[in-house]
Amino acid sequence: MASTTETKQKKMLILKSADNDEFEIEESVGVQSETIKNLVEDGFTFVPLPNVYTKALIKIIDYLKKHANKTDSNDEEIKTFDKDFVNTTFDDLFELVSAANYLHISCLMNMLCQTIADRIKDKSPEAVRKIFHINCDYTPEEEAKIRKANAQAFEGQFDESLD
Amino acid sequence: MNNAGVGVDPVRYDQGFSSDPMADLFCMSQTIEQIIKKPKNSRTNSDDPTLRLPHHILHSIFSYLTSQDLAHVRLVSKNWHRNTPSYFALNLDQSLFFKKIFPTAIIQSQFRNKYTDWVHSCLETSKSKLNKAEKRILRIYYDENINEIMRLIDGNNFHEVYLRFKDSLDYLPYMFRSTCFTLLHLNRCSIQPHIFHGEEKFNSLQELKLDSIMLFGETLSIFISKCPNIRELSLVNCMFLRSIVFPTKLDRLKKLYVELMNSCFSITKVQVIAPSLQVFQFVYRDQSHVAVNMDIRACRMLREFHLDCLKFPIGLDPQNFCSDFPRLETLLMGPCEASNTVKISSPSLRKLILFFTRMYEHHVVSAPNLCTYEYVGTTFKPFLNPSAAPNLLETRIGLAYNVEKINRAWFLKLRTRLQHFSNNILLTLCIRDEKEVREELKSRKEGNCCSCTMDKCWSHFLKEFEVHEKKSSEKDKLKFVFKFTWQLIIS
Repeated sequence: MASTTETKQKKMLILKSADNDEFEIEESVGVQSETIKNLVEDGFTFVPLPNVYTKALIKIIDYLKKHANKTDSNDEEIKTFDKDFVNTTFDDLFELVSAANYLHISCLMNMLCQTIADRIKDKSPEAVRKIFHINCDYTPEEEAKIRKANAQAFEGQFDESLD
Repeated sequence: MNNAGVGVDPVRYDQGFSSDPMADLFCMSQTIEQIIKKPKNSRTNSDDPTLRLPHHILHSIFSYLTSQDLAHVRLVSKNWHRNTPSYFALNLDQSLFFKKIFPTAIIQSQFRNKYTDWVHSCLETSKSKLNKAEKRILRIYYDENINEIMRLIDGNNFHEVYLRFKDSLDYLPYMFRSTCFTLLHLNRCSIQPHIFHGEEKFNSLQELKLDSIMLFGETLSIFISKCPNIRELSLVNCMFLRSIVFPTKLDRLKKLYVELMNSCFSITKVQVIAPSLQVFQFVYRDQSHVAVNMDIRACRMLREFHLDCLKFPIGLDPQNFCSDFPRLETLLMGPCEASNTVKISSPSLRKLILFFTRMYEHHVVSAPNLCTYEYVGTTFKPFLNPSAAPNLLETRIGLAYNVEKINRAWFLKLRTRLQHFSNNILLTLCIRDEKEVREELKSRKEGNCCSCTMDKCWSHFLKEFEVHEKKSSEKDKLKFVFKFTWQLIIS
């Protein structure tokens, strides 16, 4: 892949992931990311992304391409795409949310945060700890103190499932 | 939120900042830079992925949760606690105010204005805290001068409002005006259509629960059409509903709970166009035994469906209704009397619960990926052909009410049927009359069945045996419930 600024008529950008893989995308697709937009405005056409790994970058480029071609007629198609996009593991979601944060893609950030929040919702603290391998660093006294403060919130049923 | 009003003070604040009991215990153990610089290869399964996230991301994830969910989040770990949004909850309980300050009923009416003044002063003193909080929560219980109180607090832009009235006949004077209003739980009041006459929309509203509310189906339709971003809707024992029809497409609706046990009117129509709907629980009992006309074909993302009504709805094809929901994983079928053969055929189904379902031998279940099968009814009938569910891991059978004959032969018959299922069978059995069971237990054949290979006594595989005391509604008569758990090991 050559680092020329123009291929045919369209302006192209090269994105380089943290694992040193390079991806060529149209500038109009890339500038949906504020981070990339700022670099492009400063004249960059080669964009190193040291905090974004290849796996996440591939998915995010897919997302950007889909959303760059947004018209009134493909609204449904994009909705379906988004649904499938977030239908993945927690690990992937966290990887994507870090990447989206670094790239400053606000619509993607919102969607990912909402998705993760939806999956945490209704889960018991124990189930959440198991899912994320979180060590409970409270002493029993500290935990009791918070439980007491929360008392009125603890009326509902917990969801103990780990998906 | 039933008990939330029971406290010492009629106005109670809880807040998630400044006086935070845990604040002094926390120290920043990791800076954001350290987290980002963590080499990729150091990750193992035991790593907590949330520690790798910059704190503000956790914070933005948590900002999508309601105050109740945040209570759970704070308990997970100190890191999570640190990153939950700050909140301020204002709890107003008029009945406690009067009890505390004016204990006799005669004086109460004279001092209603004092209460309003007092709420006003409370608002003044907590104003700066309210403004600072990232989530503002309001709970009002049993307020007689709701009109004035609502006017007082309206400017405070609450995120969550819990409103519980004294009587179902009390009218909700108007809808809250708030630009960041995400959750509304209403309990016991009447909603009149005129409060929705304005152009106003509730764009921020995401969660709505109407519990014991008097409103007509038409009013509900108007209300919901003004909530384009609603994600979760619960309708519990709402009186006067004849229909649940949402004419507009609800793109974001994820969960819909309908539970109508003693409705004044029969529901004739249910229409929901919600392409993202994942959970739909429909629990409906009425006297008239009229089938509901249900149109939910647009809900193709449905994962969990509870169809718990007396008659199988018109509009769903009993032969083929699962095909409308290609992602269906959990299905609960209530009595659902149908004129036609009911066919449950779904390759995605993982959990099937038949709850007093009027199924007949000719009804078909075909679910190759079924993991859990639960049956609750009067007598066990083997509707599920084991070959239709080769991956079955768990079978629960609850027998309740009027089990006529529990004896050795009956158990043996049941066991034989169960042997065709998988190796791990969990059988739950509830029997009503204590005396009857005791006698039957005694009458079992003495002798050691373990030495015999073929004829095992019914207790041979018994794993667990529990007795629960249960108070029945009729004059607090005590009842005992027995729970047996068998484990079948087939070598």
